[in-house]
This record gives sequence, C-alpha cells and structure tokens, in this order.
Amino acid sequence: MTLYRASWVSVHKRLRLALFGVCLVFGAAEAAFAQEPAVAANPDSVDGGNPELGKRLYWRGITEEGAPFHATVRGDIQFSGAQFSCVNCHRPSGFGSSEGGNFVPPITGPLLFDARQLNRNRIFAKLFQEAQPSTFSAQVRQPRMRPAYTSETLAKAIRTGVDPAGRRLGPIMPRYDLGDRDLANLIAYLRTLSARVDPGVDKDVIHFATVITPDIDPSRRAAFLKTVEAFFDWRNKHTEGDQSRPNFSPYYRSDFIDSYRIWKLHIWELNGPPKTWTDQLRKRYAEQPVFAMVSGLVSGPWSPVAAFCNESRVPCVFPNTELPKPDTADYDQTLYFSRGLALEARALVDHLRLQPGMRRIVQLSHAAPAGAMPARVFERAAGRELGGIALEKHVFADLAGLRGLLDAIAASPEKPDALIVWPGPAAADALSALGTVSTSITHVLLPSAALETTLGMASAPGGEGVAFAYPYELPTGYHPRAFRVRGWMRTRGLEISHPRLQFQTYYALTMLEHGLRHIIGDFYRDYFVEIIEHEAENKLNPGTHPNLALGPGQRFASKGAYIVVLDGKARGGFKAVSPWIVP
Amino acid sequence: MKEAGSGYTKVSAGYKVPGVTLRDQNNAPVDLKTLLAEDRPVLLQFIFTTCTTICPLLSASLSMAQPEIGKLAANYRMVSISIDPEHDTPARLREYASRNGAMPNWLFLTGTNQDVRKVIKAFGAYYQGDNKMYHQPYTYLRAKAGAAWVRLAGFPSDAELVKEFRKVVSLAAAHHGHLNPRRVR
Ligand code: HEC
Repeated sequence: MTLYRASWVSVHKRLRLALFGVCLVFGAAEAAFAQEPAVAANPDSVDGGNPELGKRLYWRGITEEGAPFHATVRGDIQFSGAQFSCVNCHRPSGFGSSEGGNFVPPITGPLLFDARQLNRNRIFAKLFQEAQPSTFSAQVRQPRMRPAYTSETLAKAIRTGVDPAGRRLGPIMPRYDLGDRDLANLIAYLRTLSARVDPGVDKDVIHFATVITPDIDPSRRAAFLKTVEAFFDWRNKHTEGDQSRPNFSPYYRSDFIDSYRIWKLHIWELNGPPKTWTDQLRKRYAEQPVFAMVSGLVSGPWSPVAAFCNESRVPCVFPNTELPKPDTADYDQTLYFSRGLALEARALVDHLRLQPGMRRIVQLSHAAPAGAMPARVFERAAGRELGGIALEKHVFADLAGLRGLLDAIAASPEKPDALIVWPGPAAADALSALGTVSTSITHVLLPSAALETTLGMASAPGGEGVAFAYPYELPTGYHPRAFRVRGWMRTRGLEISHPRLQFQTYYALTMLEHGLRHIIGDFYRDYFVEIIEHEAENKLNPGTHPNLALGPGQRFASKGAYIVVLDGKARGGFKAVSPWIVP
Repeated sequence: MKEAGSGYTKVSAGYKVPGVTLRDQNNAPVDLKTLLAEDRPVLLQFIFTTCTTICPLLSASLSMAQPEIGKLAANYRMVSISIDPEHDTPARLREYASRNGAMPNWLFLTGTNQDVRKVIKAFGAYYQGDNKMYHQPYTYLRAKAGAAWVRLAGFPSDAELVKEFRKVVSLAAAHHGHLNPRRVR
C-alpha cells in the first residue's frame, strides 16, 4: 500500500492557517469564497421571524415560499433541498453529532446566544462515545472560543460561514443561499431549540414510567416488574455510592456528580379497554411528568400509548409489545424492537411466495387486535406479492370458534395449500386446536406466540407440518452479551423464568442508562433519543434478536424473521427452515 | 495529520472482491464480482439512507460529479453500497437515488447483513464497534477491471473528485498503452 496525500496539504502549510477546520479552497472554488454575499444592512431584518416556518426549514430545507433551499458545501458542491437540511447534521435536538470522526457542534438556542466556553462535561460526553480519531478529540477538547451570536452574526455565519470571531467555519458546514425572511424564521426557531430542559427532572431525581396493561399473565407480570425494579435498585445504589465518596471515583466521574440523579420509577397500570388508555396516561403524566417511559408490558395495541408519547413528546424506550403503532413514522417517540406481528405476517408472505404449488390459502384470525392486525397485513401483502392465489378469510371470536372453523376444514375434501392462523389471545391453545388438520395440509403457519407457549409443554401436540414465524434470534445464536446479562440477573437473585421478556426489558433499561450517561446533565429528550439511536447497535444486544440497531430517525431495531418448525433434536426444540427474511 | 473535514487523504491498494450477490435499487440481483469485473471505471462508496452528516456529503459529491465524470469516461459506473442493508430496502434506495439525482450509471446496492459485511471487510472499510455510525467517508476509484483502487478518505470538493478521477483513468490509459499498445476495447 502506498500512502500519499493530495497536494492541498502543502497549500495548507503555505497558507499557515493555524485554526481548525479552515476552509481549503482552490481552483474554481476560490472565486466562490472570495466574494461573500453582503449581509443585510438593517440588523433588525433577520429578527422577528416565525419559528414554525423556521422549524420547517431546519427539518426539511423548505423556504417560506415552499421551495427547497440552495447551498454550497466543500466549496463547490451545490445542492438544494432536504438532504442538507440542518437537522441532518445538527440533529433534532440541535446538539450536533459525531459521525465517522466528524464533529458537528451544538447549535441550541442557549449555546449559540452565549459566548462559547470550555465545558468539560459536554466535551466528555462526546469523548466517551467509542474512540474517535485524534483530530476529533483535539477538536472537542479545545473548542474555539467565540463571542455570543446575535441574529445578525448568526445570519452571516449561515450565509457565509464566518463566525463572530471572524473565523471561517469548516467546509462541511454548508453556506446557505437564504433571504432575510427565511433567515429570520430560522433564527427564531434556533432561539427556541432545546431552550428549556424537558420535564421529569428535578435537582436530585429523574422520573421514569413503565406502563402495564390489563390481562397480563401474572407470572409474566412478576418477572417483568422484578427485572425493572432490580435494575433501578442497582443503578441507584451506584449513584449513591459515587455521591457519598466523590474522591473514590475516577477523577472524571467525580466531575459529573452534578449530573447524577436518583432514578424514580413510576408504574403506570392501565385498566379498561385500549381506547381509554391515552386518557389515563395523560392523567398520570399531569400528576407526575416523567422524562421518558422505559420498557413496558402491553397486551393489546401499543397505538393508544404511542399516541400519548407522540403528543407529550415523551420518548418510549423499547416496550414489550407485539402490536406497534401500524403507521409509525420516522422520529416518532416510540423505539420498538421490531414491527412485531406485522413483521411476522410479512415474513410469512415472503416464505409462501417461494413455495411451489400455491393456489388457495385459507386465513383464520381472531377478532382481537392481535389476530385482526396481522391478518390485515397478511392480506394486503399477499394481494401484492402472491398474484393469482385465492385467499379465503374467516374471523373467530374465541377458541370454540376456531375449533369450529378447523373442523369444517378437516371435514372438507378440498384442502387449502396453506392455512394461516392468527390466534390472538388464544395463542396458547392454537396448536392443540389444530388437531388432525395439521397433518393434511402441507403448510400450516402460525405466529411466534403459538410456538413460545408450545415450547413450555412437555410434549408438543400436533407439531408436525406446522411452521411458525419467528422474529427473534435462534437458540443456536451466539451473543457474548447474553452471558453478562444472565450473570447480572443471577447475582441479583433474579429468577430467569421468562428469558426473552426479561432480556428485552434489560436491554431497554441498558439503553436508558446509556442515553443518560452520554447526555450528562443536558436533559433534553431529543438529545437522549439521538444517543440511543446512535448507541443501540453497540455490543449491547442481549441475544434476543440476531441484530439490534437503529439509525437517525429509525424506530425498529430488528427487521427480519425466520420461519421455524418444531424439532425435538434441535437445540431449544425448534429449528429454522428459512434464511433470515427481511420483508 | 489531517484536520477533520478540511480535505482528504489518498491511498492506493488492491482489494479482493468477495463473491456475493447483492440487490440493486430495482430489486435486481447483482453479482458484485461480475459487476466489478466489467472493464469500465468505477467510483464506489459505502452509505446508508438514514445516515446524517457523512453520507449526504459523499453522495452529493458523486451526484455533482456525474456530468464531468461522464465526459471523461462515458461508460463509468458509480456504486453506492448500503451498510444498513436490512433497513435500506430496494425501495428506500430508489428514493435515495432520486433524492440524489442519480443518473442510470449509478447503482445502489443492498443485501444480507452477512454479505455486506464481507464487502466492507474486503474494502478495508470496517468501523468501530460494528457501529455504522462510526463509518468513515471513503470514495474508491478504479480505472478498469483488475486495476488498483485509489481510496480517498474525507470529503473532496467537486473539482478535487473530478481531478482524482481524471488522474486514475489517464494513468491507466498511459499504462495500458505502454504495455499493450494495440489492444482496443
Ligand atoms: C453537512 C453537515 C451540516 C449541515 C447540513 C449544517 N451544518 Fe452547521 N455546522 C456543521 C459543522 C461541521 C460545523 C462546525 C464548523 C466549524 O466549527 O469549523 C457547523 C457549524 C455551525 C454553526 C456555528 C456554531 C458555532 O458555535 O459557532 C452554526 C450557527 C450552524 N452550523 C448552523 C447551521 C444551520 C442553521 C444549518 C441549516 C441551515 C446548518 N448549520 C447545517 C455541519 C453542518
């Protein structure tokens, strides 16, 4: 390998520009920088803007006239529109980012309109995120000082890339071709950006809630709550330990004591039908605002909870739910493990697409959301992707109803090529209800919930010929982190009765911990979620899924599923008959 | 040492392309070895569609350079490989392509996690902690099948990228001419 550098290095040296991130320009680009657009003579012209329009500009790069904005980056790369909107680099919180060693500084209202000083904690928050290139840490350790921005100097920086100290901003920060009105709107928005600490935090305590819905199996409920409580206890003992012995901690940790808070858990038990849950949550939140909701145990749809999280802008970190809000958008407030039953339905369609001889499929679904929702997704995906196959649908209201439908199929001489059953709340009995039907139809497909209840049984009834969607890691998967989590639970005397539930819950709590550790006293929810998006894929996967990773705005950490069948000889009692399907 | 964001560095190397089948933005299978064995200049980057700071810059530089690159070598091939393949379905890549004004010579590829990892490894582009957020801004240039690759690390300007591409193809042409003056393709 030969290493050589582009010729600009020598140019750089000759210019002897000692500052960081100085703009390197040559050729055509030089001309572009030589003349800076004049800043409006009237200093008031970029004041009094509309923050709502400014927000649209910040997020989507759309001007007051509704047109995409224009800008130049790296001297001569011109572009327009959303891929270079401010949010891309400075993030929803305005706290900036560090991607691939490129440090994007915070531009929150309070920080812009204040002189820049060296804040050790904020710097450490960045340094702690994995090792970064040496230039990166140097950059963060010695942020350039500058006076506070005014509307006028801020407009100048955004247009021409020169800060109030007269320094040229690095060439990654685009130069925006914006008119006074648009700049006024943008600046009005920047003034509000992370201008107030989010609710749920006071001097000593940070409040979190976890939600539990009715109709949960008591042993699951107990395993879930014990896991959450053990984590909170463990975390708070650590904090108290550090606070009482500040000199005992490594020197940098004692610097952070101010940002430590006792975690207070609020268990929000909901009752009644799902359509009343949003209102119940509003009331609980009005009584005690929480900074975030963590994990949760939900039987039924998550949508009513998601509605609350979105309207109150409360992050909901990895709930245990199989029914995420179907129309979840990027940047919604809930972070999910996967799309749950909707993902299972899509995976089954993909699986059937590859099976020969498919002409007629029968789908039986429970009327409850856990039956109706995947049935709807299956129907839509099948219509799109299984052309020419007849789909026959039946809905049942209880186990007796399911048995009746299955008896009718067993009695009929015309067997379908595939039978899909969405048993919803009757998952535990679905497999035994199948009876002889499972041996007379080539493809009988059920959701993972029906498999999980079967595995607990001494001998699986009617397992032959039945396959399951399985959006989780196989028993043969290897995840070093799983050993650590198991060890942690054992040390705390926590019985591992419901491994997936407890490991998922542990993961949610780990994300909470990591998020808070990195924001270090900057208690802004958007920033907290950005850290989780960033860190979710570090080696923290406790082995529940083959991969857990988010990205900016992404809301589903795991994206695929296997198709599995029971197999007494396989580890865990079942094995995959498909590759990892990512629909 | 290089100041972050204020230029780029360059290395030349050979990479052994793994035998994997990826999918392009139109969901068509693409055998990567075959694709990169085509005797045409290639510009290659690793991106993902929800990536913030880095990828918009990387893709914008290819986007902007398309006309000039086309003038230098009409049969050029641009390849952007997603390092978040499970999220970046062909449909998402299609949308990303149109957002970046991609012309027909520009392919956007996705695949299984495993296969993409092989490619990342083969191109020495792995990142820390297996976390895509730490991925590095690399642009790989190659003149023709079998030629060495030049890897640019950082963010070249449009003029710089075109200059580097011109160097790569003209060097190869000179070299080629010297070794085998009458061979025409
Ligand atoms: C492609 C990434 C990117 C985008 C998009 C971007 N910025 Fe920046 N911005 C940066 C980087 C990197 C810096 C640091 C430059 C330096 O200090 O050398 C910066 C610096 C700044 C600063 C100076 C901060 C200070 O403390 O002096 C302001 C103000 C700013 N950006 C505002 C904006 C606004 C407003 C937008 C949208 C109109 C925007 N940026 C879009 C990357 C970006």
